[in-house]
Amino acid sequence: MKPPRKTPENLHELQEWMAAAVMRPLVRSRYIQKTWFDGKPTTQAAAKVIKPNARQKSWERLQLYNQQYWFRIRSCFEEDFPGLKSILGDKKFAALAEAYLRDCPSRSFTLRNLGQFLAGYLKKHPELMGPKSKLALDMVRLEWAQTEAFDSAKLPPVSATDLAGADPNKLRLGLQPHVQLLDLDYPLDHYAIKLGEHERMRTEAGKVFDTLARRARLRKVPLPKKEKIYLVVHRADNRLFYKRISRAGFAILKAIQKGRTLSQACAAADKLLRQETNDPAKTLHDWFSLWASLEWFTPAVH
Amino acid sequence: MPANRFNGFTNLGIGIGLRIPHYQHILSKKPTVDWFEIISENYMVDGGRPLEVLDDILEQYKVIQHGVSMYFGSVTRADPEHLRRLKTLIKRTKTPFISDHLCWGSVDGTYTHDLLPLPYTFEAARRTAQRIKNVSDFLETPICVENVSSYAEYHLSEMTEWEFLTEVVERADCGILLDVNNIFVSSKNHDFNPYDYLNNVPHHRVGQIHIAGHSKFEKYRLDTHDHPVLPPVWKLYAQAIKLCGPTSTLLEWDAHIPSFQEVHSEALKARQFAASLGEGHHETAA
Repeated sequence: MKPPRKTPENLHELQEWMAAAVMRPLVRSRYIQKTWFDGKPTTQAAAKVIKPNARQKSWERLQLYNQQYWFRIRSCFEEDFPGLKSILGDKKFAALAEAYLRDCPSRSFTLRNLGQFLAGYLKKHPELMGPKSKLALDMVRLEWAQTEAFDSAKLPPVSATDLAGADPNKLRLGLQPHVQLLDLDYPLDHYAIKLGEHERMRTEAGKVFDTLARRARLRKVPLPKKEKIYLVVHRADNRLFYKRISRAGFAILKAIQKGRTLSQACAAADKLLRQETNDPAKTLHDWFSLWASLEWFTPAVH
Repeated sequence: MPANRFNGFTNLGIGIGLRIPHYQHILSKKPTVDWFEIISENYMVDGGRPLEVLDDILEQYKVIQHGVSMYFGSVTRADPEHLRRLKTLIKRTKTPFISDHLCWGSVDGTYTHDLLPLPYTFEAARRTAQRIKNVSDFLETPICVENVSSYAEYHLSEMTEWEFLTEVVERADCGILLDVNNIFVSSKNHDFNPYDYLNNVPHHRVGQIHIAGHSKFEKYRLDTHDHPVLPPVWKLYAQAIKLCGPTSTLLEWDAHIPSFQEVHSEALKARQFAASLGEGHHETAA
């Protein structure tokens, strides 16, 4: 929010003034700042806009809204990024949360989208993550992917039978909006599951991640060592799953997501595929059968 | 009034909020409940578990939508994406009306996610009423606006809160979701008589009533929705029912949520007030 230039005289000015005051960071995470935007005492600025009562001065009443804003927004942010908090620790996480929420206040009617700009923001501000910045950024990407996978649309799927009869030179597919593709430098799927308390394994769909775990108390888990993984976060039967795929599989799904034809997508990953398997045709057949059975493909919308 | 054009001619009885900790109990035990209130924003998504649960609930129960971020009092225009998603949800739930708060919370595209008080001015009343009308026209659904708890008042105000509420709903020709707990909390925070408020709003526009628990602090009261309803609020509720007639009532319990049975039992206490009025007070739809 822009700092208010003067005492408000109409409704729009009042709302800009109040929003700036309410969203201004607290001092020591608890109290309203003593100095107003113009350098004068906050007590003076508040007194010009807010009526006092017998028990509370104007600035105290304003402070209540200031506190409620930050308590609410920080709690919501923490609920969305428990893994990031466990990597950074309480203090660093709190400082990062305040910086992000100050610089990127909500631009959406729903708090679900509060973290939508976090990955982009942290790329510009790696100092907020300290020495574990790559690991932390990977976790942010994973946790935002979970938010997207949790409630994004599931469209009518393309079946394996539909795929079998199609011309791969012409066929373009889409990916379900809930299917999130991630290339990570750390094996955060295992780490996130260890953090949670409600995980269990699923064979074909991948490893389940119950969103209830996000609210549960997190375990102390050793930080993962560097290891490149390619991960799909997706939803089946309205539960979230992680499924690791190979680098070639990732390249194919990325190309499909970009609107390439099936044959173009496979060609883009041809070299990788030959490094990964002695029988590329069978591997492709198996992958597409599995992905179709998981209902990841939709008709193209490009 | 029990059933009127502001609540889609419904008088549903005593409802409670549909909350995540109760999902499993409700879906497995299917308890008898007059109706559930949902927070619209929690279900304005494209898929997944929230909509699956909602569809299961809709098979068994009546659902009324209540919003928390329409911000009728905000000067900047409503987000078209918000309106589109809300309309989609209304088609899904077939809610006979929707409600949201008489407050503001966003400006110039930035959201505070709080229910901030409006200055009680004629300018604010005019703008707010126009926005309510526009939203109602777009959604093709009646709207009831809820009075909020507040912790600050502005020097700019030109009238009392109840005069402002009346000014807005008369201009917008919309309903009132009368939150008696909010009246009580604000009366304590701003030193007015809650019965002056209650006696001076247009009772024929009341489409629903909210009751809730709140917290007392040394210098103020906070609308926390984490307690049973306090005795003075029940007393105020009794007066509201006397003035408005037996009206659909919802108990709000949003934090430190106890068992389903405890929440429902607390809500059902409201029935005795309607019953105490006798049959003569039951009115039919106009």
